[in-house]
Amino acid sequence: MHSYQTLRGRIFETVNYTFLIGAALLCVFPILHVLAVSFSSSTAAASGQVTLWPVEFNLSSYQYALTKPQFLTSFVVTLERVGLGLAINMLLTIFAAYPLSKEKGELYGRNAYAWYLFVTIIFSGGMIPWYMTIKQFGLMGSLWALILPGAVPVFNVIILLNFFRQVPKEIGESAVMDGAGHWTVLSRIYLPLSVPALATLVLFTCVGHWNSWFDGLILMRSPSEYPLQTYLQTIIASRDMSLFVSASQEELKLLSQISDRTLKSAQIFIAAAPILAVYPFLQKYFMKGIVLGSVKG
Amino acid sequence: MTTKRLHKALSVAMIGMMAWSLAACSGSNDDNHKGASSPSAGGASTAGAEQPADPKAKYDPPITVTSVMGLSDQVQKSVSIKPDVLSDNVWTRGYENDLGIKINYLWTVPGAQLEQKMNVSISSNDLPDIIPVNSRQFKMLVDTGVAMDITELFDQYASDFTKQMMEADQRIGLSQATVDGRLMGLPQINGAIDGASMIWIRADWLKNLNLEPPKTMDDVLHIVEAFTKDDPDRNGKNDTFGLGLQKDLFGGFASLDGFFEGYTGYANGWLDDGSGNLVYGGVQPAVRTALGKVAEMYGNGYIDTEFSVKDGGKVAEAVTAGRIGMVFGQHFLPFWPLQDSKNKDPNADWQAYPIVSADGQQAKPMINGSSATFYVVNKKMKNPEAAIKLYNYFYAKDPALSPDFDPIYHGQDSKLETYPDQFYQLAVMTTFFPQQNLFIHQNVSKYFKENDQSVLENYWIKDNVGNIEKYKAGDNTLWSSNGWAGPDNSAFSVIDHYDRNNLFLKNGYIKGDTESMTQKGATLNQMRSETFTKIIMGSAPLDEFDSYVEKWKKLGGDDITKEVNAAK
Amino acid sequence: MKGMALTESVVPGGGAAKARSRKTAKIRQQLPMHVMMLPCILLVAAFSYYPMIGIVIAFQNFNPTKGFFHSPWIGLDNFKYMYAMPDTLQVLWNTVFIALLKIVLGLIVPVVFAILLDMIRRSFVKRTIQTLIYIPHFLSWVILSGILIDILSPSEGIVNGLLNAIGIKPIFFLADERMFPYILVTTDVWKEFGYGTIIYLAAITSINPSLYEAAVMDGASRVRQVFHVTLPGMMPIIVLMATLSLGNVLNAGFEQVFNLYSPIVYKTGDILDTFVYRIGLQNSQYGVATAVGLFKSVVSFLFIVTGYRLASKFAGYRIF
Repeated sequence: MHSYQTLRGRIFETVNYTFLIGAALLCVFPILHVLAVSFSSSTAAASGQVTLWPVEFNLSSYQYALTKPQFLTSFVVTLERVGLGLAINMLLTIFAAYPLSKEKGELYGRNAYAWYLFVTIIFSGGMIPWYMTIKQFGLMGSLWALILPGAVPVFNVIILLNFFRQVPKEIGESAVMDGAGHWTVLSRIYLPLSVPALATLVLFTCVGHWNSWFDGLILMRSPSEYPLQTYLQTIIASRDMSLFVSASQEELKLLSQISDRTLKSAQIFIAAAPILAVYPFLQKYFMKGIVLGSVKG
Repeated sequence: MTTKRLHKALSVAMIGMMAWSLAACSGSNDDNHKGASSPSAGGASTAGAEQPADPKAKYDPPITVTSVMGLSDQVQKSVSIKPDVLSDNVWTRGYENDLGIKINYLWTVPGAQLEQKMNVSISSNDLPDIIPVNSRQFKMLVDTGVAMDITELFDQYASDFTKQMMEADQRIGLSQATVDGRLMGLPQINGAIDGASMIWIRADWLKNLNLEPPKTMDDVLHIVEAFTKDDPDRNGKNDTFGLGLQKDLFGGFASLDGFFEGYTGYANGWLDDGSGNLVYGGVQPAVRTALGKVAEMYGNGYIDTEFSVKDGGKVAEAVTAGRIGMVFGQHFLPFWPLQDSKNKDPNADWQAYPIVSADGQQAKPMINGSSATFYVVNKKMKNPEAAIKLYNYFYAKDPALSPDFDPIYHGQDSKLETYPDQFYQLAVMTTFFPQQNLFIHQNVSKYFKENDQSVLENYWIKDNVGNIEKYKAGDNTLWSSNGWAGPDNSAFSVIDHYDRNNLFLKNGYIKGDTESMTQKGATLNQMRSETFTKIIMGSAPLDEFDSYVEKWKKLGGDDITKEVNAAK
Repeated sequence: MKGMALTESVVPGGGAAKARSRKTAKIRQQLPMHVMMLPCILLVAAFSYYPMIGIVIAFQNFNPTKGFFHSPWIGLDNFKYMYAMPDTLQVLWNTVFIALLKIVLGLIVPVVFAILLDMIRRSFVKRTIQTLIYIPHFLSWVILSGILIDILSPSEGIVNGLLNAIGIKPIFFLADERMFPYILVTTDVWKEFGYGTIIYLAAITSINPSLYEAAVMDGASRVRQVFHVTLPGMMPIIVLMATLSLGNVLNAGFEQVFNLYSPIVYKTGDILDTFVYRIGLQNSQYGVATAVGLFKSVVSFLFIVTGYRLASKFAGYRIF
């Protein structure tokens, strides 16, 4: 592919680079702002002086945030959640997507299964029954409460089954002829051929578990059980100022600390950094041609 | 008001007890807060109740009471130091040793998320014995039949001191917790007077411009103008606004409540129309007048043109950056955001002044209820009287005025690192001496003005005096204590002024939402904020107010008024 | 092809008994797939279908102490209540308008970016840009709204600074009734397009490279390759995402609107979810909230099913 050598090609290339780099800059603006605030003094941040560069540089907010026990506890909960959740979600996604990628004739009840799952994307009982169900199963306050209710990510199943469908049928069928069972076909042929899709879903799943906070708030019994984002939410959510009227002096003294933007920003950044690092790591699975080429050869 | 009905409901015994005055019981520390000593003279005996219930009796064997807790930041800190602090602290030990009650928290949640979490609990009917709720949830629990009627229990089991506190609160909290004449929960008393509006002004700017503190609304308008136009910070730039305002228009900081009150406009209250009927303040002509003035200020550029998208946090930034010289707000401002302003610029000399009027009369700030939190006793609770005992227990141990006061129960935030389990917020229920903050100010004032060393015996006073001394010695970060309780031009010197001159105007309706409020309130409030904001920004003429009033009445306001008058 | 012929040839033939035994054989051959489905079926039954009992709240005056079965039934009153609110129609219109724009742009922009990114040959640049554009997804609207209010400020914001430089008068974007929906759409696309790009990049990566080789042999330019190889190769995923996103026709983005709107733009910026939130704020009206939720689900369902039908009819493609 050497068609960039024409003049038109070069112009296009330049425009394309400029455009994409410009877009990328627009996208880093907010995180740079958050970073700059986190490294600034609280007074500078409180007076809105900080834009993209730290004012009165210091690291105290990071020191404070990283030594908070709650921060570390939550971090561990999140890691457990992402690890366990990722394993279960991916396993179930693959197990559901493979049969569903078959045609009606190849799997009895295929369409019934598909609709059975699909309906749950759209219809739900709402929060109250959801809560009561999880309580009935005795999951309150356990890590499973954050994992089992969303164990089957139907949206991902549909995505993966579409990728599975693009696997050339002949390959699978010839394997079956050679006596291979479905388990073998799935693990030896479908999975290696769908690495980019799987990498995408791994990313989606990690991000999903990493970012969810509401279930943690409602289903956990104490802040020590919170995942990181739930904890973070309790920090950054804006306070209802009408409540300060009835605050005692001790609570009032904490007000300036609560509203400390540098501290919030530092924690936002620390909580986002690990998940931001996941993507570059997964990118090598997005390299075109590797997978298909290797199988073909 | 329901005080009358409530009185009837109370037993003879209790009226007898009320004869005890607060001062008589609590010793020398306490004086000059009025409403404290009950005027009711009466029977001296306690022989009203059929079976004399003993409020202090201990359960043997101990019983377990379940509850839930919204954790303040301070308590979360304690938990991080001592993970089991909620089940083992000075309060739980006291409950168990003195009352034979063990506390079991079904769940805990950071305070700011309590409402959300409690909503789910209520709607799933997954509730503990003692349920801490806000006023809306309180109504829910009463309506759905979860809340126990504790009228008689309270009569029998409330301690003398608890009852004195109710009197000191002028029974406002109790009336908020009373539905159809029955007491349906225990109010967390905070004191209504703390909610009064005041004016916060940068006195250093006044000085720069040779201006006097405002005496009338015209003065206010004049100062606002000068603060905008005359370069009050003397930096040679036209970069200041006279008045800080945030997008919600009403509230505790950078709001219009105090400004409107200067024109006798009470946009959030219910007022007596002179014939004993309550009318909604938000549709009265006074509000129209005040709105016109705000629109004028906005038109002249005295208010940030972008206020309509800025919340309190954004206005706080501008205040800290030294771009705003005046805000209307409540007592907590010294702690946030004015302390930030002081940190940024030590010359920022924020002072509190009483609101002023446009008509030469004394302006009257409106006060609402004294409780925002209620402890509902679950009908399913086995020993409901235990709830009242726990309530008594807090009043016994926490307020520095109580005969049984013990400072370790209140604790000190500065000592939390060493004693994480000694703090008043670890109690299963909290409730306060309603004039606590004013009381602190008055005694702090006594210390500084009359050099009265004896006031230091009280822990609250000592703490504040200490901070203010340090501030005066040059520690700017402790200015907030001075701005809050200090002797002059502090938040509570203003409240004290209101109190001495009897200026508080009580909101005529402080109970839960009526049926129509529930149904129509959202629409009406939205219409109000839309209309008011548009009028202020000049995108609608002032006459729009009149059609707003018409619409308000038609879309449910008339129904609400009827219901409020029936329920008052 | 070979396999197809084989299975076809097996089925017809012999007597009924033989057919039955073949059927049994086929079921046995399929059995592993049913086993694979089983855990999903059970989990979905427990955590999705079982709680759907709660939909009955939409037709009740729900009382938590009485539960789902003993709360008083009130028929369609919850729906009527919503319908009778004076602003409902305007709010519905706002919701659909904002949501549709978001759906359309939220589809086109990531596809275009994925293709443009794919054209970048330097792997490092490509990866870096990919990573950077995906960052805004991770910042919540609470944080972003504060930043946006600054950026879009008519007096100090960068955007108006630029506009000013080319002679356009400052615009108060967030307080302008006409502009507000477009601001919502633009900022939403800005926040999410990088994240949305990922799935399309995966789709491009999955295209068989031999197709490109063939196109290059035919002398096709890069642009022609895009239209003849890349886009057709991505089409199943594009159709899939388009159809599923139709389900969002009544989701205009609660968190975003809630953090950015103000009374001055209620008229064009108030959406179904913020509307319900405010009503709910007055009093926890579970019935009304559930009724609105059910209404949204039904509408989503109709849209997706229509999209599904259209896709299979015109593109010949079934998304699931």
